[in-house]
Amino acid sequence: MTIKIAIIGMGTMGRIRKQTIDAHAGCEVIAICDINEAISREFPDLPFDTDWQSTLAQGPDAVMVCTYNNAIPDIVCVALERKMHVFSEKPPGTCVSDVQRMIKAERKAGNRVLKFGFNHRFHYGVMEAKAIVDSGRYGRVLWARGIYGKAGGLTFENSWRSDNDLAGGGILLDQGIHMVDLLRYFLGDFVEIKSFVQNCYWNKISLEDNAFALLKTNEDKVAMLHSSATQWKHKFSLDLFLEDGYLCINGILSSTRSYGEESITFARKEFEDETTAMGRPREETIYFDRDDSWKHELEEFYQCIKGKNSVSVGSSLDALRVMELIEEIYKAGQG
Amino acid sequence: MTRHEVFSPSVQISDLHHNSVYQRELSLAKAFVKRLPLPFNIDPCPISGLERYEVLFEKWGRRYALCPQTWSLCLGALPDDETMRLYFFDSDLARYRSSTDYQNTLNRLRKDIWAIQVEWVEGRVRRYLGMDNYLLVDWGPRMQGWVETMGTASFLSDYVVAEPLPPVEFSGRPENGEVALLFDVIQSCLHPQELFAKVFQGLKPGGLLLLTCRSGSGFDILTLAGESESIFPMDHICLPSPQGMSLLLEQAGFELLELTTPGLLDVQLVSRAGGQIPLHQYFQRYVSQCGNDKVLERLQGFLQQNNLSSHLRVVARKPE
Repeated sequence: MTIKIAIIGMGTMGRIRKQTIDAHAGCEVIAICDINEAISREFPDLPFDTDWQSTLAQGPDAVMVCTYNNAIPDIVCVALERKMHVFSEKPPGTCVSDVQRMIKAERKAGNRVLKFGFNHRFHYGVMEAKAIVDSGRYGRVLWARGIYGKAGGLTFENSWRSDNDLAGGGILLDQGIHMVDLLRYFLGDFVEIKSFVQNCYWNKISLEDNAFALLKTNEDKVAMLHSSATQWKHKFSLDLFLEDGYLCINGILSSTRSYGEESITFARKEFEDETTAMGRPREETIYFDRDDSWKHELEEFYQCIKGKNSVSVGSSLDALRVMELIEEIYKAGQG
Repeated sequence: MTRHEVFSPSVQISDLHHNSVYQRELSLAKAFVKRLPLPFNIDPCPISGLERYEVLFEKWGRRYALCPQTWSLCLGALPDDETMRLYFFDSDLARYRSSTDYQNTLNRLRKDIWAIQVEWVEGRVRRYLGMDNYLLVDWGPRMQGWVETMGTASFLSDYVVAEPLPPVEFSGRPENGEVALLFDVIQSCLHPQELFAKVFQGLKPGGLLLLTCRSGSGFDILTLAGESESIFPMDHICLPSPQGMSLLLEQAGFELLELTTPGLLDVQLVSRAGGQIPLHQYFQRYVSQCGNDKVLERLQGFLQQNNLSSHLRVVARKPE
């Protein structure tokens, strides 16, 4: 049976989700919604509404929420209340209490699926890294360093992402959340946080454009995080150092390819010779030419709805933990 | 798809082909081949089935011809099964290769390389199959040290050796495995399509095929052609290009996950050949004479990343 899906919010993400659903044999978009009515002309074959309540009234099996952050919790909760499965973009609302509300609705809804869009875990570089770490061949993770930065750009200050009411947070909540999720994915839950959260350059906005954080687990694994909107050349970089080796993910494939090629370099540590082996150890690099993260993410959502899996990536618990960390980083960074 | 680059400054040609051992192998192989009648025909490409008209070079009187579709390089006239069995099991070369002296020397030289290969196998198995232990069928391993190294890997529940030359024989229970290895086997295979069909049949749905093979479209082979010391009949009769390998896997029903050429030695082989580089290969002669170590290292990296090295590595899956 085909899963009938309604998409709420037809901006960049809504369109990406629609393309992915169109390519999936088991899913179908049956209705779309956006506050901008002009968008309806681009999709003449689909029922369109500017009011999400009306779209939900069409009775889809599942809803994809691709709206501004502040609209997410209401839509998610109502959809769950109406026994629909829900996939929502990140961030999961604007604060921890939003996630708590959605979890309550999820529990009430019984066996409905609630999944959030942490698609970076489905990038091939990250999947490869996870397989290496889980295999145990390099021992346990000692520390990690993650950088995720973008340049902002000419429209940055006027974007909804820079509007505190709509977004609820700056670059850390918008983009850095992916890196926070990945650091937690590889190192586990963090119990101690130190940070600086500040606005360095984009002075017309009230939100942060840079966040620097140190996070420590109760096993003393430390992660260093930098999330930036003043990274004039886009950058994604995640280094993981383990007892017997290391792996470095550089770049992340995006539709514009502006974060460079996605690759992972990994190697076993070599102590034999300080100048040769430690400076130039045997390394292998894998370059990935395709981003199937949206496809994998939808497939997991689909399998969960079919009852074959439970949510392994982007569960409501993942969402809660990540939002708790982000709030802690904000709190610690703003003194 | 993916591209791979491997940086391994310590690996040298001598790690793979120890001079004293390799020269003896070459002379025994040559003696065997020279005793065979000289064929004049050019068979269709064993990979694509297409007629071939372009002979790239001749080695010991045997012509190597290019596939017009895939650029795979294979012996022009293919020997029969009996000749191949004789060559690999009942020739002076076969006896030398099974001698303790030969096996011990190569075990010593290749120990580190084998450890890296086992780690690669484990990496691919963990990536695509998960964290269980698996039954692995290893097709055509000729080195006892390799069998001991691979066979005792901790991520395997069972290890079975299979002989690819007809009639197919298994060292253990010939049951379906989750992983199949074909390390450097295709290059000495008369009927690659048939072998892939057998391997496919012997894999469980979702199972992985991992293979390595010499590629006929690789830099050192196309540069050195008949002067290449690393290509000779009957060890090397079928050298698929990446396109040829894709075709073989597709024909057999495999889903291709990775096809890369992370070879380390192409540039080293060409540089070492020095005066043996064919005169008309001006660019390669220039680079090997005038390029410094850094240039040569970067060139090898370029070949790896763009599937232009002669060492082919594949991960494929039998669909569920």
